[in-house]
Amino acid sequence: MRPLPSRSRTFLSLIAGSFLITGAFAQNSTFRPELFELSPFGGGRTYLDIDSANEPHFTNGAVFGGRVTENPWQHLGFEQSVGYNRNQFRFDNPVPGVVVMNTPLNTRVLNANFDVLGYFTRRGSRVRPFVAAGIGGVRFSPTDDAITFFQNNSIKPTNQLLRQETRGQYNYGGGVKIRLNNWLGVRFDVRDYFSWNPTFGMSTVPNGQAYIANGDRLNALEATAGLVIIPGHGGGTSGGKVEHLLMVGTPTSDTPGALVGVPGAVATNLAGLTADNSTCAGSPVRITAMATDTLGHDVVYHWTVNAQPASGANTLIYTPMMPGLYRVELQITDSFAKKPAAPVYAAPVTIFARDCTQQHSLTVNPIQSDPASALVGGGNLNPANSVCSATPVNLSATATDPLGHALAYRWTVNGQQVGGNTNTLAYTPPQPGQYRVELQVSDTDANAAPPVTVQAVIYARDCARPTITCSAAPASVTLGQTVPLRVTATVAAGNTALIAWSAPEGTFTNANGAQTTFNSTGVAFPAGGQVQTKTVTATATVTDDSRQTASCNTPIRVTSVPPSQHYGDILFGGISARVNNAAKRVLIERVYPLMTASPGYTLVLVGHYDASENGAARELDRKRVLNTAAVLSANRDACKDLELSRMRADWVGLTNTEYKEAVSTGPVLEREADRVNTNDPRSKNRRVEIWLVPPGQPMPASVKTMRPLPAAEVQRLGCPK
Amino acid sequence: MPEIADRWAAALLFAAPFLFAADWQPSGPFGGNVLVVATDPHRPSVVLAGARNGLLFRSDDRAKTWKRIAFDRPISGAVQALVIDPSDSAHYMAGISGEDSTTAGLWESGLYESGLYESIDAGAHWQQAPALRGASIEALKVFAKDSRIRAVATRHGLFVTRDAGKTWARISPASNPELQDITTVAFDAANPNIIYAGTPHLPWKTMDGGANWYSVRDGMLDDSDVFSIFIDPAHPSRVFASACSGIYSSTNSGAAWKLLDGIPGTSRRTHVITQDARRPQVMYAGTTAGLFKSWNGGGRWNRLNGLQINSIAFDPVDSRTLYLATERGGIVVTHDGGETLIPMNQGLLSRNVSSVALGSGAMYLSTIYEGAEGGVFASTDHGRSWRKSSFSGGNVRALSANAQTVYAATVDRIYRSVDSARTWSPWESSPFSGEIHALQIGGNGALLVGTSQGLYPAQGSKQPVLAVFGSLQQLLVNTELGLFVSNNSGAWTPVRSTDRSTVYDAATSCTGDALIATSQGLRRVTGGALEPVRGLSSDTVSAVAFHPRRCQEAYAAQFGVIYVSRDAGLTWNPLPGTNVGTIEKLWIDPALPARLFALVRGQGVLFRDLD
Repeated sequence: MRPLPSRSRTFLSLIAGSFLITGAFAQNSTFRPELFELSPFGGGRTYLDIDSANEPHFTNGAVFGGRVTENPWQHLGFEQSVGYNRNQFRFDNPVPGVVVMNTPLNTRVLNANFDVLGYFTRRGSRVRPFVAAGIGGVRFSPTDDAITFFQNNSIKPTNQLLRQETRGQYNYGGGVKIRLNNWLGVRFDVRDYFSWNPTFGMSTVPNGQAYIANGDRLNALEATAGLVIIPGHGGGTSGGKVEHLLMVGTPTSDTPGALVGVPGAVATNLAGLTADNSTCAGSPVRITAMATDTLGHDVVYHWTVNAQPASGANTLIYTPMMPGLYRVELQITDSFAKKPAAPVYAAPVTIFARDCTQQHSLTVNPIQSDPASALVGGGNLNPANSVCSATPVNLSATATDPLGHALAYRWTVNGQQVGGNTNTLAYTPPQPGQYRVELQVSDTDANAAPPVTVQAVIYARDCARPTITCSAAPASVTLGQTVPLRVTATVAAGNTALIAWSAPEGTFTNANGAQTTFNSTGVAFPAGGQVQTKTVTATATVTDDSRQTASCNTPIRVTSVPPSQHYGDILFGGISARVNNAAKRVLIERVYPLMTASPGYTLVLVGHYDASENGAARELDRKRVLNTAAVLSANRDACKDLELSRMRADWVGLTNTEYKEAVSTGPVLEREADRVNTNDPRSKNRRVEIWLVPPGQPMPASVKTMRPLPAAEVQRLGCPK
Repeated sequence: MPEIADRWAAALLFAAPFLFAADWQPSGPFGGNVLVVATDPHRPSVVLAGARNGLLFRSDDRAKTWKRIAFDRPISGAVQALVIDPSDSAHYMAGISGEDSTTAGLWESGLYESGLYESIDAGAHWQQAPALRGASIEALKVFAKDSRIRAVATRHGLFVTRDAGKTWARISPASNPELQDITTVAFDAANPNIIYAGTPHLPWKTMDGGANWYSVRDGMLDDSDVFSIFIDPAHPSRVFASACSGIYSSTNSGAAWKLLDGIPGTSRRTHVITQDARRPQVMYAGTTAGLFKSWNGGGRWNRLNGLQINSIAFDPVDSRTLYLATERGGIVVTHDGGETLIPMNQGLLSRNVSSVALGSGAMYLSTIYEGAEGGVFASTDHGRSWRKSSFSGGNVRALSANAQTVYAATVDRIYRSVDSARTWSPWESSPFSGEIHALQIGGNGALLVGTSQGLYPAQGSKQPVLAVFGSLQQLLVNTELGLFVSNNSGAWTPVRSTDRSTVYDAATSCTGDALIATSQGLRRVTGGALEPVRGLSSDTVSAVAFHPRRCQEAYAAQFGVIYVSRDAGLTWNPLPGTNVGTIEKLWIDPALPARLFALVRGQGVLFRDLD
């Protein structure tokens, strides 16, 4: 056997693949045989000419083939078709100079297509007109005799053979299927196929020999008639009737709990039912089932309740009048009278109707309140357990229904309804007196438990609100001073008054005393050394036993008047005016930033020497002051740029004044030669006092004679090493 | 790390409203004093900077822009130490130094504001560590291997926590006078019980967590005030200490020191010495004379610039990128190990402004105690940017300007510029005596000079003039004798006052109304006397201004709160907004009538839109 050309193998593979796809549908259709059809057909086909000067064309001829159809949807289907047409290829128009091949070439034309069908009627209808369109391929195969003839004829080049060719193809058309019975019908189709024309390997341009121009669209019109075989029921036929299926959904009920007794029948609908999974006798139950006929026939529902017919389409509304079990059965038949499907039965269900006159009781706990002392019960009123009128009381109660029914709450106070439908109530007794609170809890279910009422009494007494007045004397102080504060508070008889003082700044010696002292030390003022005034409001609040409060305010005016500040002293070595490095830290890192942050301040330097130094002769007190000033003002190297005009000085020699460490909370310990030696207290006399004097403040007492610093002399010192 | 990221994100969300007041925006001039800078080890874009006056700033873009972070209360002390917790990027620690409790009443009103402040939400909220309340913090260090272990150097001892700040213990003996004022601290790289403490007099060391202390002074000049101690993480026995007497190194854990050659020991103070973590032989020394760099582990030093440097922080990713906190130039960044410097201060305001003047279409501003980085600045774009002029006369105390001329006064000299403060020349056409306190150009264009010996050209008495306020139409002179007013006729009339309040500011309107800000509230000049106003308490008012176009509209600042009056100062109502600090001056540029400018003490110029 001659092996098939590769192109042939490809084409046959496409055909086989298409059948496999459709076969897959068919395989699924085992469970839905009404969806699968086989259609052998036969008919004729005519071709339009190929647009070439010598007018080659296919002759008209018979066609036969088969179709496999899958109808997965009511109005849509897929179809694989194969058609075969034996043909003759002719050249009708001689062209001058071109050898005309008068003998037609026998040709086999094989089509394979995959179409989509759109039906105008639903599946199962007797008549189903449709339109179709699809794609596929067509193979043109010269017969062996044609090939031989061509090979032996001089109309072609000697090295040329006829060959088969395959072209892509699309088609459209339509038709109608007419079902004769449940397994057989007929169909009529018209298709128009389009592909590029074949050239069979011949020359495509005039060259003195036979040729076929290529690139023309080949159009074939086909009309066929065929059978429609509906397989799958072949073994299912019985008594001459074509059977089809009724599909039945499980009956469900919109009455929760109505359907019980058939395990699995309504299993998914049992959740959330009442405790006894039942319905009340006398209450209608709606049962619904859904059925479909695979051929689209109307279906008829035959309901019975306890074997007695009951009317209803796919929905049965039934009212079990008496307590008990009601078995509901449903038979469904096909309305297609001639050849109906076999009736089917839904899974029976049972309605359990209970006696809803059954009694049960609600449980309601006593009313609780916040404050707890608000409620007194049983008429044994105890005024001590009471609240102040105009004071809110929060009431609450919990209630439960053994059957889980929803509950309703109704609050009344002295017979007047108050509050909402909740288990809580916020009530404010408007004036002194008794307030009888009643809460009625009701079951909202049809099988209602009797309502339950609980009561309580609020006893509201007359509580005088506290009063308070407060005062500060004096009302104005200088920062750092204290202010006595006094409060006068009154509360209702028998109550104790709790007093609390507060202020945004400052502190109190006794924040809960009727008399207290405000300490203004903590009142904040922006840095800068300016005179500033700020009002601080002290607030006193009194609270009585009923948590009623009253407050009063008293303003305290605090004035910050920066005083002269003895920052500290820096020490010098014996018979030395050198500013040591520890002293430089004080001057450069600490005093200078303070001075630059407070432009109005004056820096006052007071120099000393010790008697042991013969300081007068050496002018050590003066030199120490000048060196100190130079460190702060030289404006070169590590020295700073404070103006000498902001400094004042004095040098007082042996005058003893109070020595102070240069840092307030700890000493800047200097080198041993300079430091204060407790065994040699004379060392502390080798020093320069540093004072920071704000505007308008007097000079320190240690200054005997205020002296301006000799600018030229200080500048000559440069930045002391 | 995801937890940290979450906390950071939450913190940012939280912090947004607390970052520098949304109602006030910084105008400039940017820069000024910065004491300390810190980077986030895990977020290279985040940089913190601390300055005097309780100023703390954060940059989220590698110092390109800065935003102020406010503490929960105003703080006047200096932000001396900053650390971002290496284990939690949202945990900030700030050490505040200042004059503490025993100087109460002078600088901080006894608020005990010095101490350690911590924020666990990236600066949105702060808590002061109770155990360190009132302690002036000089340095703060975190043990690298366990951030729960921290040490703070204070002016009265060294404190250590080992439980992330829950408890603090003073580990320097209270009885040893040498170990009271601690200036710096350093942990051994491996052992947290080995701690070095710098003092104004030599360094000390403990090897047992503070139980015993040793003076490690061999080889070090006795008069050595220690600023900084650095321990080589890779070689803990290699220790560096910077002191006034020079930079010392020790190769035996401080047992003996050697003075480093090649870096001048005099004429400068080395505030910080540190090491490039990726190239240990590269070291930097930040001094008052500039940034020094050594490429051979301290053997030889080169001075790279002349900036006064207080603190250095490395970029955690690129160790050639350094953030330099400078004394007067704000933050300066180098990306090439100090070779080139880039000031990066957009939004960082830490200036010491002494005076503000409005010219025609320009604003002028002078700073004081800022050396070459300060002087006179001009803005010709309504405060969007400030240009530093070439003024080199020193600390400027007063400015005045009109359409043609700008005058600047130091304590004893006056300079004039006729080209919008670009160039300056001495001006001596009018003789005066005493220290200059104020300048004001009068209605006739003549310059009034207020000095400690009177007002020049000589008018009225020779009482020291404290300040001159007002407009060209009406001038107010504050003297030690009281307030005088002139309607430009040359005659000065005393303003009657029933109290002895201190005058801080004054303003005159275009219709002749005058308001006086005093230590006891705002006063209105009515019939030649000072009368109180309504709606404003008698607390100190630090600044007042009239609107230049809407003559009835005035603004006043009282403890950082802005009040507005629309009836020439008769009644006042507060404006919502954030307290940004002590406002020393308010003004409205006539060209921007809906914008209020404020000079804030220790910061600079800010503005807020009024409508």
